Amino acid sequence: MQFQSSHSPTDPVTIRLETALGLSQMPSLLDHLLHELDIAQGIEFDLSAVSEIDIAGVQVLMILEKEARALGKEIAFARPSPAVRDMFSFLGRLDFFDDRVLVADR
Amino acid sequence: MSPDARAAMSTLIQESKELLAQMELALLEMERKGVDDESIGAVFRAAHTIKGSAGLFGLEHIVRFTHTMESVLDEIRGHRLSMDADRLSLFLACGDHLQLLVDGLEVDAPPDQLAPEKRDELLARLNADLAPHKAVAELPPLQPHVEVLDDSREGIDAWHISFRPDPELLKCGLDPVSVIRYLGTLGTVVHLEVLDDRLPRAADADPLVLYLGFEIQLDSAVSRERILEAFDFVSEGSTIRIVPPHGRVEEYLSILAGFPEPSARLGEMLVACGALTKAEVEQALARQDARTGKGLEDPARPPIGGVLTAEGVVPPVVVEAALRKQATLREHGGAENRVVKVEASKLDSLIDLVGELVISSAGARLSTLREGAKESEAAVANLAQLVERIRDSALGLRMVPVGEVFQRFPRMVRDLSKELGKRIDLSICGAETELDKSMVDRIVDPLTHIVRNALDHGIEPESVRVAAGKPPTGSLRFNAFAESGTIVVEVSDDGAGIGRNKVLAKAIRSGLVQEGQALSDREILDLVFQPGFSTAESVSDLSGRGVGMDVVRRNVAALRGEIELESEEGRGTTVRMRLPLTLAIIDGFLMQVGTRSFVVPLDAVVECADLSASEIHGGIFRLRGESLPLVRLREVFAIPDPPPLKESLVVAQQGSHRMGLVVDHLAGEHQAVIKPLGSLFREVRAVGGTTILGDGSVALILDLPHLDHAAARQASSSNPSFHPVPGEFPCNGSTN
Repeated sequence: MQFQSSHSPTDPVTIRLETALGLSQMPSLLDHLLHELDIAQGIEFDLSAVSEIDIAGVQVLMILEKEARALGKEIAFARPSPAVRDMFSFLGRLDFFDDRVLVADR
Repeated sequence: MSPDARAAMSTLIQESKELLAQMELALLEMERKGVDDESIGAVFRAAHTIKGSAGLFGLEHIVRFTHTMESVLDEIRGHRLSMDADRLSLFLACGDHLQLLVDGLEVDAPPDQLAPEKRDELLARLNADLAPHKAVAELPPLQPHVEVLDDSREGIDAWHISFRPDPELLKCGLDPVSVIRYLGTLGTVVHLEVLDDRLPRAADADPLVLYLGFEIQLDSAVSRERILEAFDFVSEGSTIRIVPPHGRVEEYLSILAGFPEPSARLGEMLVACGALTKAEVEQALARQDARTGKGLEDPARPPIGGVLTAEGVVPPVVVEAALRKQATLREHGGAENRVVKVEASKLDSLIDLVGELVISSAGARLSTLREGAKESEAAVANLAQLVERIRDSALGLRMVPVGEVFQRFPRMVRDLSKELGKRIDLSICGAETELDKSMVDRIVDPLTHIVRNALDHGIEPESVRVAAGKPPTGSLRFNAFAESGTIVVEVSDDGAGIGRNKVLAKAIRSGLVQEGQALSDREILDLVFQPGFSTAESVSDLSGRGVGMDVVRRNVAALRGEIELESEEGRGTTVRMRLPLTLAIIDGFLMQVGTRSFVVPLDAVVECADLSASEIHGGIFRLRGESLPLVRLREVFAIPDPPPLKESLVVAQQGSHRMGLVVDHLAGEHQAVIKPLGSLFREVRAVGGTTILGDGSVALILDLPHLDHAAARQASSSNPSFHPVPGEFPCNGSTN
């Protein structure tokens, strides 16, 4: 399984991505995640188990964020793993995670 | 220099030449019609753009020169200096010097050997203008990008790189981030901004396509080349712009202009990077808007203002690279994007191949006709039609507006009229008329000669004009138009015209004609084209150096063209060149005499008829009341085969004249690929070239202008001793 999700009727869905976010995974992952976004009120991504991420992965997260905003749904990216944090830090986009951390750092 | 760099350099040279031409045109326009802000702007932009491009190549000598020009132009633009006649001349001279510098690039000439005295003189004159207005005009040596214009600022201390990767990059297994990381090894990436504006909505998104762009600030001491090297593997399909440290506001602005993202958004990015301040961006955008409001003539600056509003609302959704390119084209409407520059030699070899194709196709057609296989006949006919269309569009590729030649004359006319102290108004008509590129290049010399003649001998000095009741300003007119398969280029003046008596007297003095010989008007004017003939009473600097209209006629004849004079004494002269559309292939009409084949241009054929003996009167044939001089090809080419019982007549049009060609058989249309005559046959008249027929045999292409002259003379052979055209073909005597 590439990711785990927990549904509850009131809270936003939490999705924990447990994979490398690389180019080859992206087509299927994007479809899955869009489907999740479609049925949920909002999504919180837990990125703590993402082992690797490349620019294609970054781009998919950005597409999701943009789509959620367009649909008026809540979306948040939380607990970036070192790999994710490093990449977003390099891109100067650590703000991607700021102010939106709905999943408490456990 | 790497092949890429060389290619870029040749683009720079080409563009600079175009800009210089625009600059010259704007200057001449102002000289003629008065100074206006728009033209000053055009001159400024030309100098500025050349300076910018030269800066990219580190061509310091050009940067320094244009910089000083630009500084003065900016003073003029700001109305702190006026663009008076002296300054117009100064800038024309500066343009000439720049042209010299640019030409120098082509031959790798060392910059300090390119007329340094002239450069110093011009710079001194420019600086004299600047001195009271601005203390700093001279560039400090190694900082070519310090700006002394109104945007004077130091800029930031780092390279600014705008990187829009090829959307297909990821699919090739390449990662833009690794490129940027590599840049980090060349120095420090001070700042990186990711542009996500092009991210589409999820439904349109292809996760394998890269939508992101990057604005990078790199603090590094390396050269531009080293930075570009980092992009070596990803440069194909990507857009990369590099602004050196201490870049000027204008250069950052060119980033705004060059990318499809909304300008406002890019402006924000540049502010975020610290490249510009917010105020600068606002000011700059406003200025660009103002500039584009009137500046459509400058394709280098797309109308950002409009794009900004159009795109600011809905950023274009990008599906793939191709779509994006199309979209950019549509939104910017930039003409420059619709033009592909192709090396002339590539076109030439294409035309050669098409020529061979035409011949082979004719061969195939002939052999299927012989075999009588109906099915392949149809297929071959279809093929022949396609070949014809390919031929037409291939030839069309080489067509360029004749204005390309015309545009170099305003300057020449200006300089000559100053030199001669005559005021001359130049008007140009039909500049858009298209002509084969090779032809365009080769009519420059004849035209130059004709223009010199017109200005020097044609148009009278002002006092003479006024005395003759003419307007003091002389007028010179260029005109070009298409006429029955040929292109006509005319140069007319309203000068003194050609004095028939003067011409005749001169011709008698030089033994071209004998005294008492009665010549028609046309014959007298024709004398002007005789070798060594010149009516100029004084040999001036401009013309009358022994190179006369005979050379012009020879040059035009070499193009299979024709030249004629029309002149009314006291009213003016028109020199008319009639040129074939192309040098390579013609739609021909094939005729046979005995075993020989002949071709004339199809457009010249008016009609075909049977030759009935009763209508022949000497060398004249009466066709429905019209008298046609007859040209018997059998006699012209001394063909021994006996004529058939019934000969045929082909009525051919040459300019305003018609003639009747007498042949044995008519063979119909034929696409003739013209093979020029070798040097051995250069003296052969009446033949303009040869072509190869489908069966491999050779047909001669008739030189109608020559036949026309001969026929006319033969028909009116009142003066057997008068031979205006030397090198006769043997048809004299057939009517006597």
